Amino acid sequence: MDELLYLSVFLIYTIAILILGKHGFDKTDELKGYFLAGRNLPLFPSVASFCATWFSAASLLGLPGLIYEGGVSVIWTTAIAWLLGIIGLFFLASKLYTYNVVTVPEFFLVRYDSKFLQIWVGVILSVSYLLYVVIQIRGFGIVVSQMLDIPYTVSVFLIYLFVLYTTFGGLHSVARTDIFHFCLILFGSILGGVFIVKEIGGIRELATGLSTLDQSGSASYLALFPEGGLSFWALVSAFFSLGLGVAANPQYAVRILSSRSKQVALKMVGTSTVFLVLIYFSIFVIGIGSRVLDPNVPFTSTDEIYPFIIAYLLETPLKGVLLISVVAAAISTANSQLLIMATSFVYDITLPIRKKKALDLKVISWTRWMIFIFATFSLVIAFTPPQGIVQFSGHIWGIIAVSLFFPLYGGLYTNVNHRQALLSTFGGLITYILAFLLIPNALQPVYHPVLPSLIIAGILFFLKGRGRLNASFH
Amino acid sequence: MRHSIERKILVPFLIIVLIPIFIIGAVSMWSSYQSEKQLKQATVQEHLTSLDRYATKLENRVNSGMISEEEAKSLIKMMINETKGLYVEEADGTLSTEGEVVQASELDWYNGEAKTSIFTERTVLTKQIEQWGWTLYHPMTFSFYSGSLPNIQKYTLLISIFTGVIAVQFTIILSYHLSKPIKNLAAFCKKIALGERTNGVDIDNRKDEIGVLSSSLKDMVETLDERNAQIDKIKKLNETILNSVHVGMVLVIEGADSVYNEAAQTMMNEDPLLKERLGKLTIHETKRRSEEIWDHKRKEEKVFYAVSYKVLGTSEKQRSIITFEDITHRRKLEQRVERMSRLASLGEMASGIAHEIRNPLAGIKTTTELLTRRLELTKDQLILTENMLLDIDRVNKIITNILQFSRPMETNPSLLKVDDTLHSLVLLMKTIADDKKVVLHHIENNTEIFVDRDHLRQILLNLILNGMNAMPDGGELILSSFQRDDDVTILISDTGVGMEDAVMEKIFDPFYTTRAEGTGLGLSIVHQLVVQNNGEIDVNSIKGKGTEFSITFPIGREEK
Ligand SMILES: Nc1ncnc2c1ncn2[C@@H]1O[C@H](COP(=O)(O)OP(=O)(O)OP(=O)(O)O)[C@@H](O)[C@H]1O
Ligand SMILES: [Mg+2]
Repeated sequence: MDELLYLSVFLIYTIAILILGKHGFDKTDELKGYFLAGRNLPLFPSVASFCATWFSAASLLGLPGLIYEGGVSVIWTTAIAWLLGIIGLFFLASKLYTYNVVTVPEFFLVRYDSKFLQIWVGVILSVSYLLYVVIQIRGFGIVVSQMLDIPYTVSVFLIYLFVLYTTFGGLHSVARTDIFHFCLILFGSILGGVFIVKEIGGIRELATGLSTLDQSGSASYLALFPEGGLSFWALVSAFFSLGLGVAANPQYAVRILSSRSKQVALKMVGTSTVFLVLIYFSIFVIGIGSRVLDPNVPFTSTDEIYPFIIAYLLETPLKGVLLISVVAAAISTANSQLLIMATSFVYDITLPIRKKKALDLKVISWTRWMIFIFATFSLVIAFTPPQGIVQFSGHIWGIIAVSLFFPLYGGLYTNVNHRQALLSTFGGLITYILAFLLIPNALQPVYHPVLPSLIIAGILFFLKGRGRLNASFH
Repeated sequence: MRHSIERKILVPFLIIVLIPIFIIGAVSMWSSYQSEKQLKQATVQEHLTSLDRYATKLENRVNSGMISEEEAKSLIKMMINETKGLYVEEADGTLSTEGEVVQASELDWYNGEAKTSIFTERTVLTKQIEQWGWTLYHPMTFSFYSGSLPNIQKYTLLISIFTGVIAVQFTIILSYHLSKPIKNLAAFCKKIALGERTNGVDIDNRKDEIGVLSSSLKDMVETLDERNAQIDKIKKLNETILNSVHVGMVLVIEGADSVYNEAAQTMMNEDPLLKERLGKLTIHETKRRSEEIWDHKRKEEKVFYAVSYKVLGTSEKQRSIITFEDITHRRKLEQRVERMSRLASLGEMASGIAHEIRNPLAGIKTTTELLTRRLELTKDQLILTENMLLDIDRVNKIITNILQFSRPMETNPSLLKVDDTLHSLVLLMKTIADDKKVVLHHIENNTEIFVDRDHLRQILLNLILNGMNAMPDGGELILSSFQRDDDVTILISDTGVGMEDAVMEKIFDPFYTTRAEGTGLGLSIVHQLVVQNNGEIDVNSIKGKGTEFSITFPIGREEK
């Protein structure tokens, strides 16, 4: 019976996406329109798009599971680390908006006057986002195949179709569908929290349930800090990899560039923070509520906990919305990453190498082809993910933080030249890979590879510049 | 756009694509539903039949006396009770299922109230066990969401959605792809229609019909642009020609406002009378004449216009073009030339006469002097002869004057400061002027000219004297000068009696005078001297207000 319900919700969702995504097609005659929605998005679409991109399937599925398993203190190394990255975005918004660029890598060309740096950043983005999209597709595929009881290949192919379709229309389509996705994510997570509390029997029941949990449980489940205190290095690791990863992530920088004005960009970051906190709170409630509802959910990966709760412990027809909110999160994140990936490849790698000017329409149609190729490539990888890819994908945030944070922020706030920037990004990345190989896997959550590599990147960015070129903050 | 081509492609294609998917989905769902229904019915039917057969067998045994009827009935009952949903009605009307007696009124299917709605279908299978008068009932319910159907349906639905999504997406992309170039073309055409520049617009170079269409359109627009540019150029050229000529042109159109060129407009602004006269022109008038000269006063000055008419031969509207030209200046030049030639012939004649008279006059004079000395004359007679001699001298003086202005004189030009000459003359005339209550003004302007010093003095002296003579009751005499380009003009203006036009035409003639004691040679000589020093002389006068003479000389040393 539930499967039929899910299917009908899914059908409605499909129709909505087909209609919403279609509108973007008509508005895509020039590059700025396609890549940045004409740099003319009003506040609400910007906020919606920002938030929808922010929440991936991983965070909507994974976080409740982690909280279920690890207790309240998990938020330090997840939600709070991510949210700290927003501070960086405020700084980014106030400076980056004035640059007249179409893509984020192009900023490096304009700022450092270095084509090589532009191409390099394009390569980093193409590769890391490819991995990221694979993860999105894979995670989504697993969940949907479980819930709808359909083969994994079929559900992966379904998301592929959605992502492809919403990305084809450029940022106009992405932003438009993101409004819908944002509403789904917002209502889905709030409803999830509400249903779980209701299922337990109200707030009071939740409180008593929690206190009994605390007594029976081995460790202090509710404590804000884990037993023995939170490791300082674990905290720093999380902040460096996740927070700075967010701050330097072009998928947010693109949202800043596509806003109607600098004021709107700043307001977008501020307003989004409110929504993000709200949604994180709901996820938090879902996590601890699930634990109260059934402390013995069988699982092999924490990702499976929330779907299990939805499927077996909730009795409401609206749980279709909860499922779709996960779909929405996956698609809205994947499509903006796919767009960035394809634009980076066409605009920041191919065009500079070709050296010839091309018509806007041509560039757009190449980008569409690249979207198609990249999406298909991600799909093929997602069918049979090679060993290690999943494990390595957890490092995408760290890699972006290490290779982009200093060139991006340093580029905006200092007058360091391109040689320093190149040195920093290469040095940081190499150190990261070395650290990843050398630091034992078990130690990595505490002594994350990002720690040494970010320090190296920072030193390389500033040290020589100070001495010889007299870098100064401006 | 509501009726865009994209929609026209999209909607029918969507229908074409979706309807089969929908139908296939629905049909396959329906058939799986039907087959399941039949399967169920068949099993139930078989079960009932087997019960019936069993009952017959038991009946046979009862008949043969192997078991009692009671035993047989209870055996069957047991079997019936084991089957879920099977009801049995015994001969006495008691209804029971699974060993429990139920009231017939509670069963809606039994009372014929069982309804078949859209989603659920109910039937009741019955079987009579005739020998005992029993009836077996097996009510059945089928629906789309019961039994094993959802599982089968799920895949049908999923596949429908799946293929539907693919089909719709492909249709949307296809229709977009098909209509995009047409839309681009339409946008391009719209831009052209709005008159925007088309240089920046790029239509992609396609190889298909749309490509041909757009490239030929582009070519068309380009040639059109070129033509327009050419036409514009010619138009501009014509306009500049029309507006830069000094001839005024008026296009008079029947029943419409006249059109004036720039020269006409400026001329009309300067001369209200001209404007009035032009404004009165009608087509009818222009037909009668072809050329005429207009003359009227413009700011106290007489002006002349040469006006010509031409009717333009167009069939519909009567139009005629009028050109007019300010010929005042030309007129003056003509008058000057005419005056010079007249004066020259007059002078020649006069000098001939003077010459012929001078010799006899000299004879007369010597003879008279001789006679005066030789003849013993009375005092009265002496006075008479002296008068005679005085008159002879007077004639002689006139003759000298005549000869002076008629004979080409030697000029000895030098660079002079006009102010110096004027100053000395003012000093010279001071006493006479005071006598006549004339105030002499000399406005200094620091100009220099290249003329004969004595000639200039004589010219100015004559003009000053004339001016003073024209002011019997006193007045002001103003001497000034100014430089324009390579010429310097000296102005001598008085506030005297002035002249009428008729007088002005004759003043340079020898012997023309209005004064009893004048000879009428003063201005003739002035004219002669001015011309010989490469100068020009002009006069403006208003009767009763005053007169202004202007003499113009070149400043430079350049002589021909
Ligand atoms: N400033 C003037 N104002 C008014 N009429 C003038 C003036 N100058 C000349 N005339 C007129 O022109 C006539 C001719 O002048 P012109 O100097 O030739 O002879 P005149 O002055 O009459 O005699 P003369 O110069 O021989 O003593 C004058 O009689 C006078 O009528
Ligand atoms: Mg005189």
